[in-house]
Amino acid sequence: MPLFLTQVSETLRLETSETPFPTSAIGIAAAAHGKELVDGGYSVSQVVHDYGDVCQAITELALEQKAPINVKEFHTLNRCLDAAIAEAVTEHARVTSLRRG
Amino acid sequence: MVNVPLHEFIGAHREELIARCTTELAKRAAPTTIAPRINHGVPFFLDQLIGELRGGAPKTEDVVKGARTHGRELLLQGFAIAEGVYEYGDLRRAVTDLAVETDTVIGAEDIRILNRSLDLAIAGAVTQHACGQAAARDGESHDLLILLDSATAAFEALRKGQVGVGGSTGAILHRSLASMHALLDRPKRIPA
Repeated sequence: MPLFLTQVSETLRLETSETPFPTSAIGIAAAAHGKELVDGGYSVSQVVHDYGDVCQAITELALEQKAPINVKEFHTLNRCLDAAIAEAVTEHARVTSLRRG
Repeated sequence: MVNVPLHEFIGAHREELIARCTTELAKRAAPTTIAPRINHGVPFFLDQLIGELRGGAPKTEDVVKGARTHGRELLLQGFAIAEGVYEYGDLRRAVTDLAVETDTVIGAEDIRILNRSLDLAIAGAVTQHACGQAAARDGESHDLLILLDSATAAFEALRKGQVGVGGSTGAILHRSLASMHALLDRPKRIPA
């Protein structure tokens, strides 16, 4: 999750630059996280809730600190989350399937 | 800017939201696959969400059940597990886009319920997709995964303090755990 937060931060920072942060990097890290969660005995639904908690924490903290998130930034955050969850659940399902033989 | 309860906003723009999700889906899938899937995914979810936002009881179980149906549909039509994530993600984006376009402000609590319900739906859809694949290999694993998902969804709602442990969500958690226990204690069939 710390790596995901760094990647979201870089994505937001570089969004309008000539060299935007590659979404594929988020996917690669999320796939590795999906495998970690299989190793830790977590179900595929817990993978989703894991990332959902990050979204909730960011929006709640922003509210508490009166730091409004504009729509464009919210979209970017959700795009990163969707990419991460999609790759994490795909890897979770793949590894689980392989281990069950 | 107009402050509108989310259930009124969704009720007023339901068809537009579904149309936007359909458009996004069409960018990823062949058009012939759209109709049967969208009817059991986003529209069903929106109806459950409106019910809860209107002040009804939390629709945790109904949202998860509908999403599971959708996850099974996705699997049967050959879609990857990630499609469940992207479809509900499209809806989140459609709601926020349309709110901006119509100068509508949606309250933080409504947004929190929307996000929590979407997480439950995504989790239900991907679990059912994974379960469907497991079922082809092992029926008992499939049953356990379904029960584990029910327990996880109920626990997440309880953990976030949205509902009390003595209510229907607590009962779902208790029932799921008891069923898992019974399943694991059941005498194993010995192959002939």
